[in-house]
Amino acid sequence: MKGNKLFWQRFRRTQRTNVKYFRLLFNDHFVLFLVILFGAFVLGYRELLNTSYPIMFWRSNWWQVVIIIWLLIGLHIGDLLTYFRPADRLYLLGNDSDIIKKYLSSAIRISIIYASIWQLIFIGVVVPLLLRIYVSSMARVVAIVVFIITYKLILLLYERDKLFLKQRRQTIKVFEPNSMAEKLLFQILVPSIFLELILTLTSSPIYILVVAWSVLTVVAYRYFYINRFKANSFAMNWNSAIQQAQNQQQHVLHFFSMFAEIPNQPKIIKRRFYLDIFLYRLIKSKPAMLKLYWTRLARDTEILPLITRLIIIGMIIIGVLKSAPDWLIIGIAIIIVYLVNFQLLPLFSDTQKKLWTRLMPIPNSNKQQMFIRLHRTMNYFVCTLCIITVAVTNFSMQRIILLLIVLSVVIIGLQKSYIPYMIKKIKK
Amino acid sequence: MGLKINNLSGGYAGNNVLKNITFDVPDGKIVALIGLNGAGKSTTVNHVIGELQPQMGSICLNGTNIVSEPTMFKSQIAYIPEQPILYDELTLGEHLHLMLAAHDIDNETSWTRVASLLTLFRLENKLNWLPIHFSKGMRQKVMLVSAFMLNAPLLIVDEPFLGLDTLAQRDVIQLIQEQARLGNSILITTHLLASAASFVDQFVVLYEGKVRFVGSPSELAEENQLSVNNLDELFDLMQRELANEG
Repeated sequence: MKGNKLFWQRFRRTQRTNVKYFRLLFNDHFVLFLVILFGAFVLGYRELLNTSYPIMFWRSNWWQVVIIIWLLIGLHIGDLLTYFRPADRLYLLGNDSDIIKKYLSSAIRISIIYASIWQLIFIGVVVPLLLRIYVSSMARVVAIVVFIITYKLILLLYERDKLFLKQRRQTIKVFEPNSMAEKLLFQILVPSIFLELILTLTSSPIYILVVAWSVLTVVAYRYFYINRFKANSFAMNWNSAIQQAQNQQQHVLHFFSMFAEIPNQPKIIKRRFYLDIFLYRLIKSKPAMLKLYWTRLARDTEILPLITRLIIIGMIIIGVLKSAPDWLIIGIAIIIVYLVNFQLLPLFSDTQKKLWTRLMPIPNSNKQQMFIRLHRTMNYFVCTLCIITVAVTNFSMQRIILLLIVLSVVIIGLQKSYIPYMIKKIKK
Repeated sequence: MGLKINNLSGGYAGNNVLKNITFDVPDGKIVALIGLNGAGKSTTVNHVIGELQPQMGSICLNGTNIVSEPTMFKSQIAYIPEQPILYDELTLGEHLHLMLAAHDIDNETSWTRVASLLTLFRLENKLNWLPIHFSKGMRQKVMLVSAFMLNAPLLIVDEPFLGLDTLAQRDVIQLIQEQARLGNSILITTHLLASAASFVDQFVVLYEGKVRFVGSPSELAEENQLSVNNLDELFDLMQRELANEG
């Protein structure tokens, strides 16, 4: 099969898988949460831009730092998409020239399209801020777009270059590939310096900078360009290529698993020693099943981070919308409590799937009761956090009492009917 | 009394693998369940540990029926599966404490035995390790420790020697024999007939979901005109018979 045909076949298959994951991701709960989050972000951002702060507030250097950090985060997004698989080492052996010239050319094209979309989104977010901070900022915006997108292209070409085995004279080796120094220089230092120059220079030097940067880009592109001679003289470094593809796939799966349960994802466990002290206090002299649930939760890399993010974002929303009416704050608090309960449910199903759990001489009723006890503790914790956030951001006794009453009713309802119902459904 | 399997029929949904099998594992005896792949060994074990529901017949352990009193039944068994199963999130020490707590066994009084088992399998310094750091053999040893520490009335061992070095295999045989001396019933499944013949009291031969033979190793050898040392050839005989029937 021709290299580019194979790539596009894999690309389409991956898109189909991603669509499946997106369906998992955009479940009713997540969309609801996303709408609230997006609404709160737009409200907060608009409030920041429309508030009449003194001129010195906008002239603060901290805004440059914020913008640069934001754009550097954006630069990290958009990996090189090769879709190589471990078996390629065997089945594509001997096709290196075709893979290098055709397969990877298609890979780089699609990677830069995806990466550019991400970069434009990230730049788009800071454009209102740039326009607010600087009087004449269109030149800066254009310079940022040109720089970020071309820089990302060079980074992707550099990543592709690491997948080759070259003769010594063809290799420019400054650092060990993927070393800390390399990452620090190419992913932080170089882009930070250029972005800082774009943000601080006046209009004319910015144009000179853009022209100089464009020349540099052309030189870099010439170096990375693959002609027929290069395609024949390079060989694939399959170890690096497969490792890179697996890392990229893990990044994507990790992104999806931040918000949804992704089936068949290899599980990674984190010991989290810093949690052990709380964990051991929490489970001391507690029944075996409760100990098991808490320990699994404390070291899980899917459910716990998901719940933690939910709670943090929820508290930020409650804090930001301090002047919103009581019903809205209470509504948000109910959604947070509900989502935390909903996201905890896979812990029960996953624990029951383990043969060890089923072999333990513990009645099923006890296994369920202990899981409901874990929910209860989590609910009390979330409820307390909501009340503290309301008390700290906009103290109103009426709002606190209302919140306490409504959340108590919701928690009782969840524990008495929703969770037992869901457990029954899981067991079926 | 031990384990009594009476007229057991069962298997997976829509696939009745076992057909009226009956055999006992008396107290203090070691019984090995043998047969070709697909004969029904794993299905039998899955029924005994409560993973499958019998369609007919009964499984009783010291008078406790697995269907009517599953928790009571499970509290009397220790199981060592063919493939080690561990919680990825729990350390070795936490696994052992969990198992003791689930079986309502006091930690303090039983820990001396646990410690000696850990030393025997060279795991005494690994109590804080997560399963991800264990090799396959070490994982299997964790399963062995957590089963042998219970001194359960019925010990079920699925392929006891898989993934173990020679030293560990010898230790496992000694521990199994020790459990039998304590009066516990032992049910093992194995493909290594000649090795098992040296320490088992009885073989139960399964053939296409039915019990074909129950007897001592020497009786099994005599029945098939083999010597005890050549018992492994029994599989060849069964395989040939199956091919002829086919």
